[in-house]
Amino acid sequence: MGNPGAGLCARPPERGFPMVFEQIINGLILGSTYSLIALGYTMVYGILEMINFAHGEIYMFGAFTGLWLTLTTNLPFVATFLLASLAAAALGFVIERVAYRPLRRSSRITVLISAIGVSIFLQNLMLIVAGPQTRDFPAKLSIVTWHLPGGVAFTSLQAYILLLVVVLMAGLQLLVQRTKIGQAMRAVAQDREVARLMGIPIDKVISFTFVLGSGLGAVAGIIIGVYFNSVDPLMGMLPGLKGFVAAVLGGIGSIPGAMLGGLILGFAEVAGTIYMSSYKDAIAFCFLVLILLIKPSGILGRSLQEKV
Amino acid sequence: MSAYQQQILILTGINVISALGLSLISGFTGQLSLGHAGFFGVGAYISALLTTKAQLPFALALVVGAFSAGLAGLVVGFPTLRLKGDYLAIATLGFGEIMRVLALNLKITGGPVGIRGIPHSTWPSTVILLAVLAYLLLKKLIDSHVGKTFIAVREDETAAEAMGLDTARVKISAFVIGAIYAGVAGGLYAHYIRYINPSILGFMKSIEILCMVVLGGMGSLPGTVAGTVILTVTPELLRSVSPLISQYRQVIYGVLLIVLMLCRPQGLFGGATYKRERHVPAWKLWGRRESANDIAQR
Amino acid sequence: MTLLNADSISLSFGGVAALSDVSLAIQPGEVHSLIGPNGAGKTTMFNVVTCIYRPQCGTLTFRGENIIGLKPHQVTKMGMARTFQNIRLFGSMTVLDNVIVAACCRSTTGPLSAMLGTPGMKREAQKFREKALNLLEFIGLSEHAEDVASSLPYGLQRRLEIARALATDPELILLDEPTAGMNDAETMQLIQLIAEIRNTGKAVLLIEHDMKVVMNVSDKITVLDRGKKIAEGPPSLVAKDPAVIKAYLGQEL
Ligand SMILES: Nc1ncnc2c1ncn2[C@@H]1O[C@H](COP(=O)(O)OP(=O)(O)O)[C@@H](O)[C@H]1O
Ligand SMILES: [Mg+2]
Repeated sequence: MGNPGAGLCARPPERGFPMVFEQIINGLILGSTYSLIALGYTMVYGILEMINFAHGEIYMFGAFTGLWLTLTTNLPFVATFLLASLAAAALGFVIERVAYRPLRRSSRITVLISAIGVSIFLQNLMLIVAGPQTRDFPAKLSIVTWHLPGGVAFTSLQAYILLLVVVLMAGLQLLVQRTKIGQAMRAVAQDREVARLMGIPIDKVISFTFVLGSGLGAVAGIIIGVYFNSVDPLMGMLPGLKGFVAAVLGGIGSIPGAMLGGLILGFAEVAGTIYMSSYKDAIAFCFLVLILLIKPSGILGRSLQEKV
Repeated sequence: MSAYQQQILILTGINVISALGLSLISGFTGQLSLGHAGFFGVGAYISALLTTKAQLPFALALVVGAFSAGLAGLVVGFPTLRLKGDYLAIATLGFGEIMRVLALNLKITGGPVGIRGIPHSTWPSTVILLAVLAYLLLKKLIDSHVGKTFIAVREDETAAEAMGLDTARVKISAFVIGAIYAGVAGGLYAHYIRYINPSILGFMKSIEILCMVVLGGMGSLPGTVAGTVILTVTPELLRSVSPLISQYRQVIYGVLLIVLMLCRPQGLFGGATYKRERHVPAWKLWGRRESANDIAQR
Repeated sequence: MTLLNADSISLSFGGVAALSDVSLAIQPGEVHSLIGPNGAGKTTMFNVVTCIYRPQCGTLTFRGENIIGLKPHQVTKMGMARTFQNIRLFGSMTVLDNVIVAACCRSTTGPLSAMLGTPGMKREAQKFREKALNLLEFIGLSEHAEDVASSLPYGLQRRLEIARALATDPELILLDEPTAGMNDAETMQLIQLIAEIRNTGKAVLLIEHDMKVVMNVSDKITVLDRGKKIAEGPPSLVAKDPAVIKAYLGQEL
């Protein structure tokens, strides 16, 4: 299965402060990609109360499209990044239209099974199209390594990634809090019926949410693909699930919660890599069980009482 | 009967037993479980360890394996009591993954290699007998008034609770019985294939069984059997037609799930569905705006 | 002894006070109505009393025992049953099975006995079936026993909800807008049904908008408005209460 942390184990850890520093950076990067994925889940869940199970495959699709554009065109990397995110956003749009929207009057389980179907379909289609092998992601980026005092190394790639994530998250926060469409999203999340009565075009808002979430998911996919120099058709599976766990951890439906949950999970996994690397993938699920038992509404989520 | 036909027969029987278990959990009780392969794997691993390492007789190992799976069902059942719908589904998925990671890393389970040299003890007659028994027992349960309480939990958990049913207990019972079924199937599988590794615990295995239950019809016993037979036998037949087909098998599973949910969520046999109202074919809804009525229906 | 005693119950949802400091006492065998405009908190009070919601403040006793923190099914087993405003039948099951399931509230057999078909299980099945058939007779649904519940017309579904609640052998039955969507003839039948239920010695807590019904059947009325109790007393007094008239401004009592 896809495993963004794999590269972490491969690197022989240096001792002392440089190692701690490197692990903190790794935790930040891994965590912020989980956050990006979690945002997609949390926004869709907030609005439709459904788990977009295919979200991990959108992440994978984003990474593959980025790779494909890198290999077949001469576009600068920034353009590749943008195009791949747009393609994934379009995929998210189509999935919602074809596989979820017709089921909006169905029970949640029916929608979830359909979403699982989409996930399996995309994953295995990519297996056939691209083959099962893991590929390198030779991004057209000139990467410099800065050597800081104390033996600490820091690459420009790491800087780009962290900068990009910060910009995206700030942008998202602005979008949701300050713009008209963001306001509409929050209204729909709070109460669909009332939002409709207020004249908000529900379907457009839902489509927009999918587009936005899918774009962010694709960004996460490309980041992980480039950072660990590895892309494969099953790469979306575990990060997809872990992104969901991060969303639940932070409080599903809460955007700051998704960011926080992703970072916590990222750091926990990096710590896990050091102390018990082979069980790393189980950490997320233990988190899930624990948070659901202790505070099912998550760290920043509001507890909702089902209306009877 | 050729060896090949015998193999298909045995695998079908094993899948039927496992699918009947999932049918109780997800089809009749309405608790979507994405970790059924986890229970199957517990049965397979425990029974195989008992026959290879402890030289226990097969029958005893099978029973112990099944009850270990049942115990796993209890363990999964408890924390998931507070969860509903999709949360529960993800938690069960997490359980399956944890089982896989354990099998992959523990010494006793043989890591990625798994367990080899398991004695061949599963014969067609064993499988047929157990599959028929499994079917009849479940049918007895479902047809009884006790079985109706399971269906009531699926139909409306809040109402069931308000009518004085201990829904937590009902759900746990479903998980335990369903897990025991999967455990038996796992034990039979291990002692037929004679070699198991962590791949039998994979998420895709859980999905394959789910497809069988969904295709036949959630909440229909004959449907579960039919779905299982179709999805076990067809790929085998197709494989002999063209090797390409088996490559597309999982793509087809994906499409099958989507199309079924869109067009016939009640499955082939039209058992009860999760839908709350008469089904409108999906193509009629494509591109259509959601009406206030849709929301009221939810 | 007071059958149900709710004292100073408060519950708010994200800042919206659905109930504030509401007290309610039900005596055995009485018909008690809970009225008030939409959104007053009547259904919320039902949910608190049946332990589906947990109140943030207040005490709650049923038959002298504290029930806060119990699960809904435990309260039902103690003898309190309810219907739902937004009908919640087991839609794909038959009318008869809906009632049998509720009778299982008093079941003592588990899944294992059911799988093995033990004699005790068969005896119980027979007992519940007869009980359910009798109830359907009482409620007037006998000829629909084998129909699928969701295929019943609206009025009959409401009656089935009552039959289902009765199958749990309650001492107190809570009816949430049982005449909503019913025509005049059906409403008259329902008034009669409530009288019959009361004649069997059960207490009834009724949420109802139709004042004809309320004035007809109630021993006592409690009026809620925006989460607060604004009046309580016998029908004749409540109907004249200025606060009630104000809350229902423009509506005929
Ligand atoms: N589970 C819930 N979550 C949030 N708000 C709720 C919930 N249940 C009830 N409310 C709110 O409490 C108030 C009272 O509702 P309700 O008890 O249904 O009124 P009534 O039955 O008197 O018409 C309403 O404002 C309603 O929106
Ligand atoms: Mg109400």
